[in-house]
Amino acid sequence: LIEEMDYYHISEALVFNATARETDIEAGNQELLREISGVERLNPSWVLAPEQARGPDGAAQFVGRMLGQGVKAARVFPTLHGFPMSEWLIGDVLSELERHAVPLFIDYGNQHWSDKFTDWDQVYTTCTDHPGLPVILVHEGLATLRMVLALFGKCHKLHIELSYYQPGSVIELVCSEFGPERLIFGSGMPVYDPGLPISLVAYSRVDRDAKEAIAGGNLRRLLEGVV
Amino acid sequence: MDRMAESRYVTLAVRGEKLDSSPVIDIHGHIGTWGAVWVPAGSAKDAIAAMDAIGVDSICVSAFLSIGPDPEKGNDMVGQAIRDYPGRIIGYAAFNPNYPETVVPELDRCFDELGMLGLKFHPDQHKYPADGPSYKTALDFAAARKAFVLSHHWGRPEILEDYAKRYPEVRFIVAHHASLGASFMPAQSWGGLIRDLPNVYADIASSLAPMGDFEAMVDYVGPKKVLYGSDAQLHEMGAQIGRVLFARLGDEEKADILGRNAARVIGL
Repeated sequence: LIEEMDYYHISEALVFNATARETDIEAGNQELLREISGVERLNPSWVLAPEQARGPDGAAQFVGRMLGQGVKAARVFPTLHGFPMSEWLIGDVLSELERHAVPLFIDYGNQHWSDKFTDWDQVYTTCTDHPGLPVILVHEGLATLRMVLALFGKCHKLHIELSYYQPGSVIELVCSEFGPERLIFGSGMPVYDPGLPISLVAYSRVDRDAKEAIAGGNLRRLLEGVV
Repeated sequence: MDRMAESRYVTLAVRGEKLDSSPVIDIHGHIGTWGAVWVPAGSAKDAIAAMDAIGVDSICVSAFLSIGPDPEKGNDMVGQAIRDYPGRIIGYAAFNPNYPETVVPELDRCFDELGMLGLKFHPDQHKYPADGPSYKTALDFAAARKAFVLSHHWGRPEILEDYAKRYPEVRFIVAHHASLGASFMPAQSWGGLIRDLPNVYADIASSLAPMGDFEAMVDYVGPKKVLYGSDAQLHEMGAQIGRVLFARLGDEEKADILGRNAARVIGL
């Protein structure tokens, strides 16, 4: 991965573990920490499903374990893992993440822009029930621009990751209406080709400060904001 | 050729600097708006702004309207764009194949009055079979004009094989062929046609970009058969071109894909 990052001029990455995504969340989250131990350019994020935070103190314990091991981001896969982002199910752990300003990456599993797995009402509810929680939608397609811009106006800590989010003039449009802070560069490596999102940012018609924020500054700010 | 060596295209792209090779031609673009997806910056002026930022010389466009409900009005939009940006906008003529009596008159108008050079087929939007008689009428026209034809898809590989052999004067472009395996079509068969038939080419406009698939496709069909396309202004041109700029390919191969091949296909 580091060799690939060098080819693409990517200095740092936020990574999660495929085992945690596909089969065993707990084991994968721990495996991730062992795999990237000592690799300063890779920052860990943990996969989260409701069972990670079960019980009266489950939410606080899960987030405490995360932070205690230097993990400053969480990622959920509602479609793949088959759960709704409902307050009665996951609200407690979202509140705990919110209390510590831990960014939450939500991957609804859209593979093609015509997929419609994202539950926009739940995105809205997640953001409005937890207004201090930084939320980042991952791998959304170009057909969602109507919803994303509307939600940006109502949810001030909502962001979108750019590995697949490439509707025409999207960066110019978001920057002019909301500023560059809502856009987070992501590559999708090693599954997806980083060349597209890198080029998207590099050739966008915005100023250098905005490009630098999108390319890394915004994510760094979110990770540094964890308390 | 060392494909891991730093490419000058990578150097330019990471800096966001304009491409310094010429020609750079986008074989697949659109202007206008589309109901299924909000296209907030779909004018020819928007396209030119994106092209200027990257260093794209020309783009071949159809209007969303012309591959949809109103080909004549859409073709008029393209004709206006050609007049507004001569040399930068290259027009695809479109028609509604469900109205066979309109095909030749509209294509004549597009080529003779509006200055278009290519044809665009969209069997899905027009809900018309790729081997339907109106497309054969249009290919007779394309053969007479020695034109190039881009189709959203060609139905089945045997349809395209038959067309390509029957109309050797026409250059056929398979849209959305950036990969051998991730397409919604059985791409291996299309790849074989692109590789083996001298007048069949791949357009690489696609949202799908599994890592390494593009290079595998280029290796399979050959770099002379691959045309850079973006599907702008639906897709952001600046993103789509990254598939080529950052590819593990030699710079000469990239220059072919970015525009030299298209210049031959278009007949520039």
